[in-house]
Amino acid sequence: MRTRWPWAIILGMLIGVTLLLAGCRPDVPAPVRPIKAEVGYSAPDFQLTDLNGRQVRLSDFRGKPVVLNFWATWCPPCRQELPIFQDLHARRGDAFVLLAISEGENREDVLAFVQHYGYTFRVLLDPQLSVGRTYGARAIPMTMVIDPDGVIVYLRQGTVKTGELDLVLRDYIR
Amino acid sequence: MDKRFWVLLSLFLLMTAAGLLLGEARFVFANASLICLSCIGIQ
Amino acid sequence: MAFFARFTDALARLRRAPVQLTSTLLWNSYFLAPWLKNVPCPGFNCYSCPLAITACPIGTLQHFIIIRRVPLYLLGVLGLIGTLFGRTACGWTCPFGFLQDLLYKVPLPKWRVSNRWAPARYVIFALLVVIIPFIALEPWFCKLCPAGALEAGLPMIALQADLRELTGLLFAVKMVILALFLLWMMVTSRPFCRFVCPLGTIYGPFNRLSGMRLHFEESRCQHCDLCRHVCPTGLYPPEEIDTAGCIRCMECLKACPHGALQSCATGTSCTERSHA
Repeated sequence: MRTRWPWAIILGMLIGVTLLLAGCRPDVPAPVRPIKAEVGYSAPDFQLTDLNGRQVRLSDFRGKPVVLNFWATWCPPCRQELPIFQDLHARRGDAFVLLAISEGENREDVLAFVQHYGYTFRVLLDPQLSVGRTYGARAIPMTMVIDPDGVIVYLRQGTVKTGELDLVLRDYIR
Repeated sequence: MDKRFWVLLSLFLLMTAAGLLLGEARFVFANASLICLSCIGIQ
Repeated sequence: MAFFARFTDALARLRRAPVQLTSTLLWNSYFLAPWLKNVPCPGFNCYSCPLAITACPIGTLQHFIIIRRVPLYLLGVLGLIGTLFGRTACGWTCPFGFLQDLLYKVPLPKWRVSNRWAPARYVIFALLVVIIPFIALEPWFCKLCPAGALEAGLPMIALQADLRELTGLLFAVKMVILALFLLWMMVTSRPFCRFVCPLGTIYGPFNRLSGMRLHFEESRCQHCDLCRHVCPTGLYPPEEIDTAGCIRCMECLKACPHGALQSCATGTSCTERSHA
């Protein structure tokens, strides 16, 4: 009987270490990626006001994929692609977050536009173009997809095509 | 003195001032800083 | 208003190319952009150019028409420039005008085009800058503009590879327009300014009203026609010195050996240009 003791101790330690490691697993930080507005990097955080006057932070939406669309009411290709976003939002709005960032316009103009077309997705106001500049959105429209971990996984200059975002989001919707 | 010159000068000064007070410079800025891809013929 | 006469005389003593080069570099000096993008450029210069620091007045005008706002500030600034100096900006600070002056130096057979076609620019202005953008909600002058093609379209697709796949028929049309204009500029003097430019169209009528004015002193004229030969916009200065086609380049003042073309200011008697 006495000879079995060391084995019991070793086994106990192994189990303990395994449990410890398993317990620690969620606390192990994800590999840190540098912050940069480019595919493969962590999306820079920002805070903007939506049309209802609420402050919205990008980091509020960790855990869900986020689609950022930079647009303006006077930009024809932006106007042209908004129905695609509305459709996507209506179908999968529960599984991802759509933030349509209006560049350089005031609340009244954007609100009137959004109400006229009956868009229900969340519109953020970037009147000073500050977030647009951080994200390099000098040419609009521009669309980005940020995965649930906050990493930019997709960037599109110009209008998105129907179904294109469905394909991108499919991999990230949990 | 040419009256037309002074009338025009004050009219345009007034227009500039009024436009600035109405915050038009902001619209000029946003439009000039953003590039709409179809507007410059790319898309 | 002796100021305007003195200013005109000062311009007539200056060489134009260095001034044009300096202002072309200034309007496209990149680093000042965040502070001056809310100011319209006095000359014709695309604001989508990656280096541009000011707003294109014609792009801005179409933008205000599209967003249904009266462009008080823009028209006020253009009106002020026009009221003070007429079309002087065309001759001295416009980058696209400078490009035309340079290309006309290319030694090729020259093709003189009559100013009979100059009113085309009023039609282009009315249709492409005002009426069509108002209806279509798109800046159609910009979409076809050769200055935009050269300053923004080409650099942008050169710098950003993913924009290349977006280009289509419109871009091809724009490039053809640019190519045709570049060729035309080599054989005809300032064709864009004379027959197309919407900014020149706005400034033009001010030549008759502006503080800065030119004067033809008939008694001194020896009918040598030198002024007609040096005029880059194909005018006959003795008869057309204050018309909308004059870009105030002062080449005729410099050329006239008899001092028949003189600096002048509104409301004052015109002064003779002193000859060194």
